[in-house]
Amino acid sequence: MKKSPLKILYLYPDEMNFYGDYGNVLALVRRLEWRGLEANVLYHKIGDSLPKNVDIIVGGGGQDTGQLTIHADLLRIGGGLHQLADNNVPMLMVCGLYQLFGKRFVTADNQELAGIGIFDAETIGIGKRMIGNIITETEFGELIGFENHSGKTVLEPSQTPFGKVKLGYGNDPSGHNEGAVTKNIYGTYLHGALLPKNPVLADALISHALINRGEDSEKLAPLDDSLAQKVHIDARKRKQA
Amino acid sequence: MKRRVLVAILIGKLVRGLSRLVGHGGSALPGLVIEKIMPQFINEVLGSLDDGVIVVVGTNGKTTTTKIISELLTSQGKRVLTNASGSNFMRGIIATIVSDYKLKDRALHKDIAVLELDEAYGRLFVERVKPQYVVALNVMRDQLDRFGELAVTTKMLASILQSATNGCVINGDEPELVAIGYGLKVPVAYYGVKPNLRQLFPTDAELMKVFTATPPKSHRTQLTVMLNDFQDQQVSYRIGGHIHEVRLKLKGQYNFHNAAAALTIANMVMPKVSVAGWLESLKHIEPAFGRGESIKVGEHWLELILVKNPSSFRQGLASHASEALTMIAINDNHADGRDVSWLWDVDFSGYSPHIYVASGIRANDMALRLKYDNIELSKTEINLELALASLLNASSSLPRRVFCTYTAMLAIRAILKKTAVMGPGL
Repeated sequence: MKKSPLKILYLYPDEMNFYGDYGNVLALVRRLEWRGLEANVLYHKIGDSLPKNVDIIVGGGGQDTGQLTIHADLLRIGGGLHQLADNNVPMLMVCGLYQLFGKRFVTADNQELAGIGIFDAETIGIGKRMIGNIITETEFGELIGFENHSGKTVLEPSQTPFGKVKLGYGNDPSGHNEGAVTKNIYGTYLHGALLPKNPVLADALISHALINRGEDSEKLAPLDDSLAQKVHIDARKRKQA
Repeated sequence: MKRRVLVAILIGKLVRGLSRLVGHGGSALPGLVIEKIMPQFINEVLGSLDDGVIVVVGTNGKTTTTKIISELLTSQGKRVLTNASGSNFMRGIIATIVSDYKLKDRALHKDIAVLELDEAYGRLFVERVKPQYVVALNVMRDQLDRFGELAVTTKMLASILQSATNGCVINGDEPELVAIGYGLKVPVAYYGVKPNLRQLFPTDAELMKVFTATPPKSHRTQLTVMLNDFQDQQVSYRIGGHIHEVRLKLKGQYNFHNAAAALTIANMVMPKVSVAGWLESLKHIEPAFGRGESIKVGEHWLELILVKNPSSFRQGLASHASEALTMIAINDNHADGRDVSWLWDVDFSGYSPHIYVASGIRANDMALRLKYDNIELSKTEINLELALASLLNASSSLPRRVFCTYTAMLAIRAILKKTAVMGPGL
């Protein structure tokens, strides 16, 4: 029997897609296709109702104006997102949406935005912009990327960070912790094409989704990721800024 | 010219001579020294020009537009001071003044300056020198690792536009710029493209709305010059209610767009010149350094196309779609932008010519990007010299094409020069 395609939901494609975030969706789609699995990409735009049945949710970064634009809508679908989170739906939230998945976000010009509180964290806009190459160590091994944010994210003691920073800033200028992880939800400042560069994380999201569907993820066929390994080697040679 | 300016120029020429003597081409050094000894140098020199200063700003197209404006004005007898080599910083401008100054006549022999400036330097520049005219081309995401957000860039462009004393030329298809234009106290002329071409020239916001099918909105502003149509290098503009056909040496839709900006400002500065007069000059203008220029290398023609952000890369791919053995060279030095995430905002799936080799510091990132668009790549070679050699030596009679970031372009030109395949003018 032919299995139904995996449904990937991308949140706010028009407003929250600033640094090549679409690469994350592309990575999931291709890695499914290359294994003979089908993907169906859905887009949540302002005003849309949140689908009850999705397999993976991806959200990107935006400018401050983008965050303000989508904020009310995000609060509206917050309850639905919590429900999906409780059902162990895997999610990847980058930069701007990572911030709004916390409890609150105070922008640099002191505007306070309530978050949906999936992460026990809050973010304060500070004068300093944290920009540069970043390398972290996570449960999936080394992740490489680029960060560009002026929000300092403080995790409550109960909140598990996603990774330890090896190069760069991460959640705050001290450069210790990066991101947050709750259930199968990963929040991170590593923007843009995080998943193609870090295929282990892409496959982890896919595996979570397959487990939720009761399909055997042990059979996730290996792919040739030697190119991503070379990209890691190059990234380790680059300075932070 | 004031005596202290003369002294500064003398010192500048001396520094330039010395630095050449010890083997540094170093065009930045005279500027560096003069800025130190006489910070007001640039104000004094530029302030003495009879026709003043035109500043060209915007994310993409500054170098080509500056070149076209300069050559148009030159064709009508103006003596133009310009920073032609793309060195769009203060020191580059000072170096140009030093080298153009004729000691024996004690005069610069210039009427007007046409200067390309990036947003950050432009803002500092206009605090010191009030330009007569400002030309604003576009606001695209670019080097966000330097400025952080697009809103910051837009604010900088606004303060540059607001500094113009005589007039501004603004891209009428850029809502953010048009909004600034409506608030300006000086006369503003707009240029743009015909509504049915708008989809080929998306704004930053439209470029990123990859998922919405709504066609871009048409301008409501009155356009002084409108790009009406083009086929290869045969281009038509609508100016003053009439359609004018012209065959250009410039290549690529974005350069036809840049030419519209240049025609608009040229007309504002010298309103008595006829449209036919401007177009006759425009016909002969060659592409700028690395902006779609073609170089003969051995038996092959090689096209060099600068790409620096999602918009310029997409425009480049769309404008250079003929069959060609292609190389893509991506560096991530400061002048390129440290962040290569922008490659994921470029769609390569529509580019049909064979991409032969990926090169540059981030060659593997580029290769990875192509892999996810299911595009075959023959080679990945970080070293630019080796990559270029393999591109040129591949057994194919097709022309060669190189898309490259800024520092990769400089390096490639240096390699071509070193191997003496470029003509004396290059």
